[in-house]
Amino acid sequence: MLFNSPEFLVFLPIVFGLYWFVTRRNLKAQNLLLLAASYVFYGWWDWRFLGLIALSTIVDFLVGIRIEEAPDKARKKRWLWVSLAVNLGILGYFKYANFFIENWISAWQSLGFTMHASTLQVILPVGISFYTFQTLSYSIDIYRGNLKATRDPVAFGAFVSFFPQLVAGPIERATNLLPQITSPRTFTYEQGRDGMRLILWGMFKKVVVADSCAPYVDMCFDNPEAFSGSTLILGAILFSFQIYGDFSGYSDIAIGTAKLFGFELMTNFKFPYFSRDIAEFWRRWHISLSTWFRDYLYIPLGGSRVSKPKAIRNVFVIFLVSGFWHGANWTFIVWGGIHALLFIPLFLRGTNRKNTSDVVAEGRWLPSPRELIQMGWTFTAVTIAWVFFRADNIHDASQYLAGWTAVGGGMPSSRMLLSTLGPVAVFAGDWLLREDKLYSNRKWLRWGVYIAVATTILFAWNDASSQFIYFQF
Amino acid sequence: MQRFILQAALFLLAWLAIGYTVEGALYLQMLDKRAHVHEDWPDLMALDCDYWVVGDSRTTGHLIPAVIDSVTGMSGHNIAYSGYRMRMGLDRLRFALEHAKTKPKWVLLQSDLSYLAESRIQDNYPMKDGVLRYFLFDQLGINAFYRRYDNWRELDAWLPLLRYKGYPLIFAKHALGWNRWDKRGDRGYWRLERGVGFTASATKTGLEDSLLIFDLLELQEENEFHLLGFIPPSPGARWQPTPDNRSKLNALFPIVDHTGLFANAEEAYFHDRSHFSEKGAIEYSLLIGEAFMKRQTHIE
Repeated sequence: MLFNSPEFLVFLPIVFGLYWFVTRRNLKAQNLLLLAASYVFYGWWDWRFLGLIALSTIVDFLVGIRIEEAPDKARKKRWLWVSLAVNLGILGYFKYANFFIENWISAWQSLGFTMHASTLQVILPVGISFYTFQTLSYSIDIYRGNLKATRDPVAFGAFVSFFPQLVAGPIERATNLLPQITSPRTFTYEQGRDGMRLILWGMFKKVVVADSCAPYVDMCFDNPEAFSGSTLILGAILFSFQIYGDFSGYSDIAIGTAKLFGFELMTNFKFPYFSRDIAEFWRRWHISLSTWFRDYLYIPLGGSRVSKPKAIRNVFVIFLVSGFWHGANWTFIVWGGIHALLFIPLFLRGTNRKNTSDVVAEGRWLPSPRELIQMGWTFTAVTIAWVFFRADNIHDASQYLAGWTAVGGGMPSSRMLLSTLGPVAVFAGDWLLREDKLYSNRKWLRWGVYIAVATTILFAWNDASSQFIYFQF
Repeated sequence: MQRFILQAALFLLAWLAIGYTVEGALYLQMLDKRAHVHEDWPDLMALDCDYWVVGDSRTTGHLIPAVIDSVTGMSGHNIAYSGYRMRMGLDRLRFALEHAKTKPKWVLLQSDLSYLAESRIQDNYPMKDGVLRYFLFDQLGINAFYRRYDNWRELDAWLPLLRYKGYPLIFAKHALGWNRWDKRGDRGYWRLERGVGFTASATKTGLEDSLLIFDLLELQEENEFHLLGFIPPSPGARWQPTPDNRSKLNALFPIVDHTGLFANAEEAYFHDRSHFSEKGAIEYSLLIGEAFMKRQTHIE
């Protein structure tokens, strides 16, 4: 089920009503409702893949208990390997099997051997990368002694399949979400209001920004040779906003929906396009994934507290794996590699933690010229890297970038230029939101913003392009 | 919780109130001033003419009754509608027949692929601004015709602004009155003074498509009019049916085929790949008038 579908408009109030008015006094029943609602939510897309979530849930539930009860480190490790094998096995089969088969075949073919390419007919289950990482973190945290294994299968099932963030994150840690599921929740007006605001702004980003950019992005990337350099550059910029609107919009709706049920999920985006360097960008973009890799891959590899060559290797590993996490395609690996190359100079100069303030240009209406240049440079670098992320293959991406220098061929169409209104609006809205100024203290002004945003969403709503990009990851 | 639900309900009510106010203002703004050159369902009431012309935009602005009348000495009305297909055109024809002062003796039917082809999405009505405007509260009583189509959305008829879902530019046009009939300088494109550019394409479209006329023959029988089909020319013969399909249709009613007409001077007679220029429209209307005259004499 999609957040931006009529089904969800019916589903959410029903679950909300049952949750707060029917099962409120019984935590077990409330969690059971969450679990059932989550399975309905996911099964709406394809009920056959519910088995995979159930498998991952059962395995990690049992493994968690086994790890905790194991008398020594070696046995704990053995059980952890079971969790890793099952979760990464599921992920590997459904997401990466074809990629490895194809590359294996082409490697042999390049050596002159004849091999027949017969790849598997595998459907990629929606959200598989998200929930497998979530369950993995649970087992690893128990192994590390950071978390007690739960004995409540319903609570654990609700944690793995929690519908607001099941298919596209944020990738929650058990240390944050599980205690909330096992404790009674109370509804507060402030939490409900904030949740609705997040849902509204998330919908705006998805419907008004991402969906209105999508046709022009597709047009440019499908046939780059047909367009002038200026059109292709605008196409790449629109994609930067499309993916931001799409993914951060989903996260906002997810966090907002969770708030309606009394849960606080982790922040996933902190206005990434206001970043002043790449290191800051990665502290602001898809935070739940980058911190996941930091905690479960980068630090175990030694992080930055090893020799320089090894630290550089670690940086490359984390960026390349992060790229590969997004999909079984060399384009994602190159995308990760570009970010690693952009990050390494900051890392070597020790300036990667220079811009750590939460709010850019705090207390000011506008950034300083220096900040503006830094933000512009970071956005440009990120946009160039996005070209690889969006293109079907490396050749197409290179061709697209080469097309930027094409002179002549005319300016972008007026309709394409009109589609930049959405990104401009979200840029302005985010700028106000970074200091919580979008929703004024004056009631009539605040309500005016609500109604204007809701009406704009309605007008821009296009049934044709409603799928979220990150579902495929 | 009580405060939250109260505020949510208040938000919905405020949104509805503002929506209905905006809709009301839009309606008043365009009252009796057509929002669209073809928005003429009210004009279909009490028609009193010898012949009616049925078709899509290739006919709406191309067959000029005044020119035809000058040749035939009859009176006619062009009820063609831009963006329509045969199935929708039949609804319009039925509406006009039900409300006519006198039934027409003749119906001239555009008989090309643009209007009759099976692949031209006959099951959806066109979401054009002229149609959109009237959904709320069904001021014209025409929603009954649209309810039958696949893309009908019942809520559009009741909730304010919902009919603009996915059509922000049309809302802007309506709100700003850009396409108000009384504000347009181009009432019928043949009166255009500015050039619109010629973009003819040799690409033919759906040549093998079947031609659908639905229950036209039953309607003809009920209302006792003569049918005359016509196939207007188009650049690159883009909308011409195959000879085989044309013959099948010709077995049901006579057809005047102008395929290839103006082929040697397309730029002078067409303004884009489907539509005539002013010169083309006038000359073609004269030709249709003559063909119509011959056919009428033949019948008499």
